[in-house]
Amino acid sequence: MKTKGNGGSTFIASGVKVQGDFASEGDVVIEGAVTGNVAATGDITISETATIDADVTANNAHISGRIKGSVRIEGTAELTQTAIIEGDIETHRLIVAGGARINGKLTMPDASGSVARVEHEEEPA
Amino acid sequence: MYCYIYDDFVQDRKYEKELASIENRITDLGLTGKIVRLALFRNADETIKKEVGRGVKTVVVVGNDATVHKVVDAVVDSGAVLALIPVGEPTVLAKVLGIPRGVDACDALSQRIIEEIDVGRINGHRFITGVGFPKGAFHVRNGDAWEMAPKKRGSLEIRNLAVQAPRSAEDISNPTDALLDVVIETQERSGWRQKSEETRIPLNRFDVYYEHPVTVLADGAEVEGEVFHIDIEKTALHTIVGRDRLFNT
Repeated sequence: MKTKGNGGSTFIASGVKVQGDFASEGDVVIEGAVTGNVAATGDITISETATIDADVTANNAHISGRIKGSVRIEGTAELTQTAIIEGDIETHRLIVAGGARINGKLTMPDASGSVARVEHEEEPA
Repeated sequence: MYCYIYDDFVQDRKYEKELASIENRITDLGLTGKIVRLALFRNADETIKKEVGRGVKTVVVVGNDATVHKVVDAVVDSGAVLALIPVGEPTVLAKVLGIPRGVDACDALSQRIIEEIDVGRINGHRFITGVGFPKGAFHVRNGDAWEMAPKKRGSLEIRNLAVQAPRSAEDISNPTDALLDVVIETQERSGWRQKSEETRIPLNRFDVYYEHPVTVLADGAEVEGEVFHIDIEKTALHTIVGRDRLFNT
């Protein structure tokens, strides 16, 4: 049984939990809880309220929630200050805001074209 | 050639004047055809199949969403074009297809803009608009891949177009993408207030499980069950739409 995406967004709100391997052919926004692998051919947004207990694969990622598993991103992975990743990250481009937590190995396969940048929060005057 | 299916409720006296105006307009536009009046024990399927066999190309439903539900099997199976003249309520399908009420619907019929749209199936029953489920404990399962459930009680809709009269374009699904939108509404606390949240996932085949038997509404018609198998037939229905249809393809 195959799940087909229409290129439109899949949205999983915070009041919903998913168990199993979830795949989408479009963009995905997760605010709820997922226990299982998440794969999106489009971009993925993992909001502050989201928890994912397994691996995440996507084109680009904007992560503010908690992931307990490895993250593999084709393009850019952007971690905001509330992001917590307990697992390895593989991505071509990484943007990390101050406060984000990563407990795992970071791999950036295409070193020549990649940019790793750490954005520090400014100290209040 | 046209075949007009009148639901039994439109034969009520309160629709007499509206019906007379519609019939006059149909005559003026040269769109006359055989009229079949549905009755309690009259099977529309056999009648429609017989009329299509005699050369009818367009089946015109004169009634509401439930009237469409009564004929959708026969229309899809026969390959005829479906047209609507909305009379009574609810008429969500006509609204989304851009078909105005009463006499003006006859003009949409004569303009003959045809779209091919998907048709959903729930436990073998076809539906065009969508399915409304009661609030309760349920889960949605996508084969062996995953299952999803609201953390607390939530409500569920399956949309091919729209289940209720749409409030905005976001409430209307694309009926030509071979996908049904699974929409779960949950309530979350936000400070002192409860706010409504909507989960939306496009799927083409899935099952819905309830903890006890429930009655759901598919195109306004009741379907009972505890487990519901749902899938979609891609562009199975040819239907006449108005210029002001609300869905995008």
